[in-house]
Amino acid sequence: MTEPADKGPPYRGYHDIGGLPGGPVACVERPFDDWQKLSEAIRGALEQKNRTVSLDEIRRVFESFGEHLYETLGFYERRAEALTILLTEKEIVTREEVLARMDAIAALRGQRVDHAARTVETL
Amino acid sequence: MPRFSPGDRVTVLDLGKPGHVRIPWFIRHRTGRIERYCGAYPNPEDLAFGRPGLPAIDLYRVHFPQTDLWPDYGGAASDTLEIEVYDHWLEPAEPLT
Repeated sequence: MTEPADKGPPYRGYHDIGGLPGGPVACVERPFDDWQKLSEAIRGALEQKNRTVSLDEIRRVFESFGEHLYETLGFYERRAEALTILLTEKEIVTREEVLARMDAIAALRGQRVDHAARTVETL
Repeated sequence: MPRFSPGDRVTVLDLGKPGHVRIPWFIRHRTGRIERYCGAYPNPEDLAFGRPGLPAIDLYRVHFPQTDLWPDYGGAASDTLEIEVYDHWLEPAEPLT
């Protein structure tokens, strides 16, 4: 089917990749990481509590925070980053508080977070 | 009273809205038919900016032959796509002649 004659190609955001070539899919079973469960639980609680943060807001943020960052982050990382941005915009917490809490949780587990590299090392 | 009924032919608009929308690029400008009415829901495009999204918007499931969506579709001619689309993204299609 061709494009309707009087209309250009439809608008496509960088996240809107349905139907585009994506290369081979690595079919690997992998368990959830603890941080993925924890950040999703926090996100869900914030949605249930008077829609403090809605999933639609989360999607709006990661669909507009730039293609480079979007492609750099994984599925749960995008959500966690968008949640942090929204909580900061809404003046509920600061990014520094989020990072400090990440450090504290890591320390309890004998781990250290490298925020710049986005890695966790076990001490 | 919903604007469309099952069987009605509808064309998906390309509203060009920024923010978060739930209409993928590959159904914009395409014509399908209403499969069912799904109820009315707060508008996710407004929820995405922290607003209440009210009044609720009618949502329909729209049915497309895959061969109408993809010029190089390699699957069976009987393959279809059904996708949920909010009322303000739809317009009545011209009747087939």
